[in-house]
Amino acid sequence: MIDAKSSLLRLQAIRKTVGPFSIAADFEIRSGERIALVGPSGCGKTSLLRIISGLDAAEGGEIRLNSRDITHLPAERRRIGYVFQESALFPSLNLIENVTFALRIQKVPRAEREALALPWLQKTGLADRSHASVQNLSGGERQRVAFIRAILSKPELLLLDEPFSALDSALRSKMREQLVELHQLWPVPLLFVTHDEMDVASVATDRLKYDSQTQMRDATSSAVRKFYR
Amino acid sequence: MESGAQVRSSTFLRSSASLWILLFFTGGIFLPIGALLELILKEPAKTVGRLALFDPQILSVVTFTLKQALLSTFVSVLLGLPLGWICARSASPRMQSLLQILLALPYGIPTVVVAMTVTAWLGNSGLLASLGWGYSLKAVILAHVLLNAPWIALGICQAKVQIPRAQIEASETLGANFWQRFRWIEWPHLQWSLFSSSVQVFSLCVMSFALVLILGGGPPVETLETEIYSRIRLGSLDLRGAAACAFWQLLLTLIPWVTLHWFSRRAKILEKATPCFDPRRRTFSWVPALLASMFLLPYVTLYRFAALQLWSTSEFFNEISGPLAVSLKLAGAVAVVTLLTALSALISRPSLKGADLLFTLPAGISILVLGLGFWLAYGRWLDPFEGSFTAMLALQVTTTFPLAYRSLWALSQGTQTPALEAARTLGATPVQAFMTVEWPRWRGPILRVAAVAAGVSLGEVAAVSLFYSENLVPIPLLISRWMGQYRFQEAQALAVFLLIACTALTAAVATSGTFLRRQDRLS
Repeated sequence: MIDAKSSLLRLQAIRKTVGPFSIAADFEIRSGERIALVGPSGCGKTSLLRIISGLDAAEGGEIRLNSRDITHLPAERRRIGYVFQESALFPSLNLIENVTFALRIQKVPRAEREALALPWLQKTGLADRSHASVQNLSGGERQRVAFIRAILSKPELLLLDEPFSALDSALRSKMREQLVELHQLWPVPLLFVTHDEMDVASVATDRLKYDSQTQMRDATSSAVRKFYR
Repeated sequence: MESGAQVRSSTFLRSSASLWILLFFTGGIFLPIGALLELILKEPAKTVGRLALFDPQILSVVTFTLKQALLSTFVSVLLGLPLGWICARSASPRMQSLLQILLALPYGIPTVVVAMTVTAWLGNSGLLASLGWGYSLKAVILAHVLLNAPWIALGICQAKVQIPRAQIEASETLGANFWQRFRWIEWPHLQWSLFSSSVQVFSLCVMSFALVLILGGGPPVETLETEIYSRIRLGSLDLRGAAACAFWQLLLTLIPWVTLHWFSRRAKILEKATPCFDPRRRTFSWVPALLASMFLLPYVTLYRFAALQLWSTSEFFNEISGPLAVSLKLAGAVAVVTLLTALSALISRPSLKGADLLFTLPAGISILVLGLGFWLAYGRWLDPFEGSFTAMLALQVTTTFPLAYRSLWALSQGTQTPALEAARTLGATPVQAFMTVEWPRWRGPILRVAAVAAGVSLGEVAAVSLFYSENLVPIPLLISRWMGQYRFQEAQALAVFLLIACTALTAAVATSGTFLRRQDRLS
């Protein structure tokens, strides 16, 4: 059984070459923390999330989640919730089928799945549209569905890739509040990518430090983008 | 603001286009089909029990037609589905284009060449003659699979590469394994493509003529198409029996066509992404390339068997020069008339509900059925035994029109109105504005449509078999006749020519999009 209140993500000497530069990461995130990953465009923020989630492989280093070494585990076995920038809802499934997708994979009976999802949908004002097609949802609704879908998989870590980027400013501030509220209900470590300082100020408990360094190796220089705390 | 002259010329253009479309559909489809139905319904009521429609022999042909079409479709899907799925996993976009061209090529190969190739393998002196499959249902199914499995694979491949990558990745992060991903994420995207291509393949197998005629070896391998043909052109003339077969054939081909339309309206339009390739999926490129080439490899044997030295003999050249001229003339005429008809359909744009359905109707009618209808409707002027170039042309255009219309319709939906208006405000005439803004978009597709129409005409057998005469024998018919006369070497040499011509046209169509874009960039 996962204890959402005592989770810990630890990245040690993670590195990966992404195009013309390398990214490196060394940090820890604990339960209850919401850490912002801020940096210029193309510095490797999304790549880092993809490495942690297992969608891409690291070239070196170690990722531990609750003392489990997950460095070489495939994405589907890491127990990490990932909210994509474009929400990535499944258009062939309706709203409730989307949010309970992970429970269906775990073979949880339908009635139980829906019972588990209902409180989350009520909290986010989506309960009355639970059987609607996700293709008719607004940008804000899509992001909420994606977030609940990730939480209902009972992840040990939450990763959010620019979760508010497609929303207008009024909706953004509402969504920020809602995200903090929802995270308090499932307070696993949370790491999110953003470009907006307002997101950092209203959501993050801390931010990762970011450095761009130049390393010499075999008489050639290469840029290293490093994320650390 | 348009001037009076411009309004008048635009009205004239639209009226002429509408008139041509009205003539095309009335004369080319409705009157012939009406004449066919009239002949069937004219049968005296007291003989209902003995109606030709329910003749046990005809009913057994209906059953056999269904059986062969279902079997051919089933085996095509069985091979096409995994092949398409594997091809879509290729990580490199360049390899993906190559694979899609490889999968598209077999579809452009004329049926008479496929029949020739299967005969070279399974015929009495073929490489696999010992299997005993020659001139049987198995040979017919094999030929259908060679043609259609890559078509199904192409549909699946194109549908799979358009699945947004984030959806696949999201399912992975939610714990879905390979099968769960396929079942819940990929399958909803693939099912419509599989359904529509399977229905098309079924319909094509029902309408298959040359393959059954050449490879079936006669009864009991007889389908409605060959039955119609033999009741008109072989043995004693039996128009009523042919009309009864045509009625069943219409039912079998129109039902899939209506089903496809009915479902296409209701099919869920799922989110599609610009084709993107997942570098993590590292299926070795050569594996899908090899698998896709398997459907082309059998044709290579034609080169081995064909007596290509015949090409250097003057007797051979003299013998084919007439049919070659007929084929080229027919292909050119079909390309031009198809284009004009498709453009007329777009210009006339009837506000009629269901116009789209009407314009694709010819795809649901077999050429032989329509040809029989032509004879019944225009028998006073048209005798199949005297040959008719016009009838061949009209029948072939009805086959190529739906494809041309659909290709150009998609293009017409993206008219660049703001750019056209901008050109007009800068002093361009409507023609200059069109040539500057729209023509660069239309040029490529128009050439492709013309090439496809010419390719279809070059390999078409049914219309030419019905309306040929000794002075009007196109190349595919000559191949089929030479095979019937056991002149296999000549037939193979000619089949190689047809194979090269049609494959080159298909390859040009498949690659011309890229080529034309490159030309635009250079200019």
